[in-house]
Order: sequence, then structure tokens, then C-alpha cells
Amino acid sequence: MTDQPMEEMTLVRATIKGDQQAFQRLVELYQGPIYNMAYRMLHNAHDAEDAAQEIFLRMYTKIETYDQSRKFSTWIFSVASNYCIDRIRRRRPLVPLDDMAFALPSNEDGPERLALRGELRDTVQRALATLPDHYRLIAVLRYWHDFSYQEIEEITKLSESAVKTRLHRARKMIAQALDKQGGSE
Amino acid sequence: MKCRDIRKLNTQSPSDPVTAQLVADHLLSCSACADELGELPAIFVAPPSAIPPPNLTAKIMAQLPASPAIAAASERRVTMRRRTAWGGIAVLLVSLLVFGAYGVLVDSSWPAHVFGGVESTVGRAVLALTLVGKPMIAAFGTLGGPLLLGIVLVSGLSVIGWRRLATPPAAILVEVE
Repeated sequence: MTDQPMEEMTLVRATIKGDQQAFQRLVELYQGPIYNMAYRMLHNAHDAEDAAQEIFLRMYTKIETYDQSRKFSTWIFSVASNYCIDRIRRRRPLVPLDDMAFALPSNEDGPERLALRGELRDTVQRALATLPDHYRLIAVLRYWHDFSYQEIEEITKLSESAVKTRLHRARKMIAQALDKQGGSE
Repeated sequence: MKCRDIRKLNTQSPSDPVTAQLVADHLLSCSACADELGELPAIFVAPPSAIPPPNLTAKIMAQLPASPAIAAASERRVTMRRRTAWGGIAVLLVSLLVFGAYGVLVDSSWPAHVFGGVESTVGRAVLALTLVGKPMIAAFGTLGGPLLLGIVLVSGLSVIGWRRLATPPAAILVEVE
């Protein structure tokens, strides 16, 4: 992650003053990463879109609480990860994730399907879906968004050892899930 | 260079001396990559990203309140209303318990007398709370004790079991750190 971009801070300050154009620019900058995170966490294009909208509305409402001495990306991912975990808890599936992972929708329409077609995407998403929520969140932050351990600590409010342990376990679980998929194909 | 770029380079051309030097330099300053090297499945080195729908920004902007301050004020009002409602429910439950217990143990009419007697509206409301609370307290006295004990026991055992499952074995912590 790079240092705080100047443009980003200007946009944040303008948004706090009520400039909707500035907020629109922030949405354009972050819609890809936030949608991507929601998709990885919720496994569903419709839920991911809905979640991304809600996350940006929360961001707009709470932007005055953002501490400008911290990285903006860390703050918005913190809002997004809290929202995704809450949403997963509210719609807790009645079947174990292990079972759900291999029954993910494969013929859902939508623009992201066009860009995400292919065996690689399905394999990765199925492996990711086998992880418990808190492990999945940390794996997504690390491997999709390239956050450092320290940034993941700030986003998730976990200790360094907890982040390391969860990532280590996530990697093991991902490897096991990939082995299982390889074995079953 | 980002961690995922380094991971990708390392997977694509690990024997290239330039790549090897880049990876080695990166590992000196990045404990995360040092932990992960060789342990991350190749497919997760640079996983594919999802693309948001093209009209997402427009949908968000269409729902936007006039300003963050207005949105925050509106949210505070909603939170306050919710807290007031929960506060009312809590006061009602506590009143039922207190007046009901007093009615069972001492006297049903005394709480109403304190609030102006049955001639006043408040007194009648207190009497109603006492009369509704009494059977609840009586039922709790006969059934509630063992039930509560059972709930505490089951909850306690569940928490202990969950903590055992959720806490990683010491060996893993040592291995990671």
C-alpha cells in the first residue's frame, strides 16, 4: 500500500463539507475494491452489490468520524469488513459452508459473470467459501487487497498474533480445500 | 512493489537472479511474505478480482442524503428512537418483576397506593403491572429456578466447548511466531 494520496484527502475533506461530486469520485475510486471484497465474503453478486451500496452510504454518514491521521483505505475497509461480517451473521446459512461451497450458483447473470468466467475463478471462490467468516475476511484482505499485517490489525482490531494465526490457518484450510477439489474432480 | 507482485514474480520465474534478489530484498522488510513463502497455494498468489456492475456508482449517488451531517443527524434520531423504545421495554419488564415480586411476597395493593391509589391513572397502571407481574413471579418461583440453572449449565458448557474449538493449539502459535 502506498502513502495516503493527496487527492484522496482533498476528496474526503470536500465530502465532509457536503460536496457530493467529491464523494462520487471516492466511490469511483473504491467501488472496485469494496465490491470485490463483498463478493468474496458473501459469494453472491446480488448481495455484493447491495452490500457495496450500504457500505458507501455508511461511509458517507460516518465520514466525519474518520481520523484523518490514519489511512483512508484502512478506515473504509474497516467499515466494509464490519458490515460484511454483520450481514453474514444475520443470514447465517443452515447448511455448513463446506456443503454450500460446492453448490455456489454457476449460471447467475450479471456483468461480473462475464469478467469472472473460468475454472480458476470458481476454484478460488469455492476454496475461499470453505473458510469460516473471520478467516475468510483476513485472507481476502491479505490476498486480494494486499494489506500488510499491521493494516489488517487496524481494520479488524485484532492483535498481531491473532492475524498471523488466522492467516496461517486460512492458508492451510485453503490448501486442504484445493486438494479436496482436485481429488473430487 | 506490492506483496502480491513479489509473490507473482516468485512463482513465475523463481530461478531468475533479478527476481530472486527482488524477493530476497522484499522478504527482509516484510514479515508477512516471509511467513507465507512456500506455504501459499499457487492459485492464491494473485487471485482474480470481481468487477462491479457498471451502474453501481449511479445507484449509490441516487440514495445519497443531502450532506454527511444531515445523514448523521438522521441516523442519530433513529438510534435515539430505538434506544428509547428499548429503554421503555426494559422499564416495563423491571416494573413487572419488582411490582410482581412485591405483590407475591408482601402486598398487591401497596405499590398502587404509593403512586396515588387506584383512583389515579398512574396508580391503576401500577396495580395492573402488579397483577400481571404476580403470576409471572409465581411461575418463575416454581419452574424458573431449575430452568435458569439448566440454561446457565448448558450455556457454560457451550462456551467452554466453543473456546476449546476456537483457540488454536499452542503448537500453531509457536510455528507462526
